[in-house]
Amino acid sequence: MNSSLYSATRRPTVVVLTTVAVVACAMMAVQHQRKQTPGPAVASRTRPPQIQSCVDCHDIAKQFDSVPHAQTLRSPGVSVLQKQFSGQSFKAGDGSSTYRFFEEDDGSLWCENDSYPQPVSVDWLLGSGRHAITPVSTWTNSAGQTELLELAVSWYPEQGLGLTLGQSAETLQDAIGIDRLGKRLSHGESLECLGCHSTWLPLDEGRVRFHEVDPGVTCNRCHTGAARHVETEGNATPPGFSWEKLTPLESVNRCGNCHRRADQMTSEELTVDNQLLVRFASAAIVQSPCFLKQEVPDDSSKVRLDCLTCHDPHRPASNDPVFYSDRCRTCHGGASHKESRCPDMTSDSNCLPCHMPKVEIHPNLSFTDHWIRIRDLDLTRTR
Amino acid sequence: MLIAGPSRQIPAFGCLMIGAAALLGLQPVFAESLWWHVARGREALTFNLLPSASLLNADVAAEADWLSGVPTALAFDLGGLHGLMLLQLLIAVSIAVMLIRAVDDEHTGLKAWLILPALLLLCNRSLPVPASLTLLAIPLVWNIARDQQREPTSARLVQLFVVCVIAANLAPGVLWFLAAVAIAGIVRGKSPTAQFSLHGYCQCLGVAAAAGCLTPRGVLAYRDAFVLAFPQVNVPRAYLTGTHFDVLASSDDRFAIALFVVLAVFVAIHHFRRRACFETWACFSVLQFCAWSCAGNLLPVTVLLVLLGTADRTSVSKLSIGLPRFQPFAFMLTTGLLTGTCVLGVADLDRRLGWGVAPLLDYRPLQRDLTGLEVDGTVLANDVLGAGVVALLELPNLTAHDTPERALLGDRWISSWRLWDDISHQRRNPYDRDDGTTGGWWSSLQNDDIKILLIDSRQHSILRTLETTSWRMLSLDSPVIPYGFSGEPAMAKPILECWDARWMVNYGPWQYDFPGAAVVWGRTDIAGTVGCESLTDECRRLAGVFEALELYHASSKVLTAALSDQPSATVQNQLQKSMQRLARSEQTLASRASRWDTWLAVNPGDEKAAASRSLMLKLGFLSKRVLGTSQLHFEPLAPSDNWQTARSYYFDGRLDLAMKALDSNNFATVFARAQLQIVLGQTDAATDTLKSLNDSEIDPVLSVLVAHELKSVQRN
Repeated sequence: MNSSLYSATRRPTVVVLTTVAVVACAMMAVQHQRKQTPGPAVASRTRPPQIQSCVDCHDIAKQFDSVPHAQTLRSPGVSVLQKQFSGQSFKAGDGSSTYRFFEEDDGSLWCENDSYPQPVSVDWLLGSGRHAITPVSTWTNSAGQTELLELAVSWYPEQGLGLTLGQSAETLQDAIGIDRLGKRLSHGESLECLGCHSTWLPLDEGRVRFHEVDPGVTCNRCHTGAARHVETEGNATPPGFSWEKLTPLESVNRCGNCHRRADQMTSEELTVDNQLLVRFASAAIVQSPCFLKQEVPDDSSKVRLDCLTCHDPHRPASNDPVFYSDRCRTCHGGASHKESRCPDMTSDSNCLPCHMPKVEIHPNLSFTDHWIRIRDLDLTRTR
Repeated sequence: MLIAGPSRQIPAFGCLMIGAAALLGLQPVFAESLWWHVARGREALTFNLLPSASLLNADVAAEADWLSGVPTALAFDLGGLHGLMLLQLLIAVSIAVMLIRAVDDEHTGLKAWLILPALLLLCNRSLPVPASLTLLAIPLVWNIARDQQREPTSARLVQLFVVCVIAANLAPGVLWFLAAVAIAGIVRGKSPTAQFSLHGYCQCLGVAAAAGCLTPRGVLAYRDAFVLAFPQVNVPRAYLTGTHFDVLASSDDRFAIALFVVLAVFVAIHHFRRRACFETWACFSVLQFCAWSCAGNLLPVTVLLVLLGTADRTSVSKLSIGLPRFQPFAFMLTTGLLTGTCVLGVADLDRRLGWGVAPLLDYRPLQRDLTGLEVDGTVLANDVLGAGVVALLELPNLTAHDTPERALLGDRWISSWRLWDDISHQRRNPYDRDDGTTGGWWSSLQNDDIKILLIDSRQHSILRTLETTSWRMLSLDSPVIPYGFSGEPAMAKPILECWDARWMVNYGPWQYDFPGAAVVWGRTDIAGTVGCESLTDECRRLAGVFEALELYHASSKVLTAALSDQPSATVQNQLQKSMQRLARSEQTLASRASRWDTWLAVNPGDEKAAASRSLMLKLGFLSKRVLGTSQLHFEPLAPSDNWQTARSYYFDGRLDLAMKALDSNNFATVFARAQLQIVLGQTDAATDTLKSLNDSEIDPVLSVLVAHELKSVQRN
């Protein structure tokens, strides 16, 4: 080799190669820095622990499958409730429009209507059945995102099939095509619906991976960060996992993430005249004088007012009015400054019919009005 | 000229470069931050030291380059759109002169290889906004710092100080000036004619650093410049994706990347041949890292690279590496071709030889929509274009919320990103994110008193998303579309008017008037007037908005009007995609698309295949779910010569001839005629045609489609 040429080329070559290496390393470092942006916890990229992981240590999880929260989203094929729809029909309005449900040989459930040339499949059933069960059909839009069709007919425990809440016979009468079958939800609305009825909703560029969905509201949905808790064998309680240190408002708002929050409504919606507010207990309760005037104790053993005062989400809600009235009397009974001065009250009175009555917002649906207040008998004026 | 002796080469070469730069600058102004800087400049001219903070609700901080908007503001206020163009030309020519003077190498070949890519890169981007002032200031600072004496004299230091103070207040990126001083000093030190003095070097650096602090922002000016140059230090890269703060490799501007790579390779070869010292290579590496780590650094790094490429005067023996000899003719040809491509462009690109301002920057529709609106509050724009227009209009009751750059500097980038992510994904109500924060746009917009949203009309996904929210459109034709909240009483009237306008453009008699080569609000398309294909950017933008709003007939009206003026493959492609979306929406509505729209949606030659279920499935015109039932009635498309002819006329924009070609009376053809009548604006005729179909015994699918169109045409 020509030594002069070798020495003449060696140093620049080394420097050039070093330069390229430095730049490449820097570029790789920058590229590696890329992280995923956060998204809804219900659609997190990694699957959260399933309820079986919780059962090992927590007895309360053992019977959770039978709780309404766990049954808010079910596939028709595996659900015993499919028979509530299959073979049934419902005439809407003046009877000119009939909705028929039928089952195919493969066990799939379908819904048809005279105004739409083809039947649509029922892919999921939303609702535990305590109030209602609404069938939905799913598809992907032109952008490849999942959307829902909320069918016009739902099932109610006492009446059977009836119009879905929020849809009216008049509107359906004027609708054309697919809109006669139900209400089309946009992609965002669809994810919001499904997100509140499931524990994990995995997405691929907006398309829901339905075969991997964790249906129903189970442990991780409310006790966020459960993965860390499981990894540390119960030693870690990440933020959002425990409810013990939440203020009453924070506690109600956690429920309100699905059951609606007062801070996501306008002032016009937060009035006693708004019948629909009855549906959203967590938005209504924070309007109650009981809630607004409560003194938050330092000692958590004392009673305070939030959703958990009367409801244990790990068990079905009680139907016994005495149970609830006893909860009221915890603050308003006995020789306390909050003692009730209600002239109609006796020691065993049922507080609910006057202060938290059921309000019918739909021919097939009544909800307890959680805006606790002093109401006149005609329920139209508050003092 | 170039084959004459060396003494004649430089002037001739310089004239060629200046001419090329002038041509490159002779393009309509398209910088989206134009109005923002005009507004800032106007504030600065009133001696307001905090121009950005005065114009934005979310911003309270001072800024170093508070005067950087002044030249643009003066140009616009004194000369209007012509003033802006003259300023742009002046800057482009100045950049060329700067490059020529910087490359004072005796070899014209080197000049060519360095200047040409740099010129194409610098003169074609983001003029005449403040970034160009930085490009002009860097060589000034560099030349002063490259003092050939051992120790810089007091005069030199004062000169350096004054220039740096002016540059720091007038141009963004004070860090680049410091970098210019630092690199010039290092490289100068290796020159055989200069002697390096550490004391002198530190003096220069200190003077430059101190000068950079003499701004309303003070020493924090360096912090701001660092954040803008290396945003990933503050913000994870995932939040910067799709912006010009992301890495260069992710940029859509492939031409710019290619030019930069070419320039870097030339500079590297030059260093290699000259056996450049280690310090030169180190500076080269650092500059490469700066450029590739953030696309926003590309332009200042380009200037520094050119300066670096010619700064090392080490005159040791060059390596005997064979490089192509410079051929004057070849160079002229290359220059001419590249410049010609840039200035003449193609009709489907927005930028080419012209005068004025790009239609995208037309602020008059927004001025029309927002002036007189009886609402007080904040306007939230998703980019600097919208925020800039609001700042420019100086509305008494509405203030812009923020701009991307000010958000980055004020540590508001991530919260802003999250808010727009929630809006674009329609996440209104509070929800938990997987990082422990709480999302939902409702609370954020309430807290910031946001009354108007401004969405860039090219952001189709957000336009589609907002269709199903309580935010309603206030305008159809503005490049930046305002949205008002439907619960706001003051918005009721403009919302309803816009709603009426939607019917008018889609089902009403409205027709689009394709401007061709005519002046479109201050933009004169010079290439179009001399016979090149007319620009179609504005009509494609408008058609895209209509399509996002599912106003497919309106989209067809716009695109076929353009096609009737001149054929264009890009416009035809967009028209076909619009027809595909229309066919999909029909499939959703009626379980199957109409034959005519399916015919328009498939590619030519696919007509026979269009009869197949597989293609219908692939195109999304049939649902797999529907196929699962036993009640399916599928009538395959039958190829028809008349339909083929009609489709050809349709894609040529000759709708009258298409109508004549559809002369059959079968129901599918009659429905096709009704569709054409709507696109032609013949509302009454379309109504009659649809009524006749409605009264006939047609198949269930067509029955749904007819009922839907009739209801829409009659506005029931």
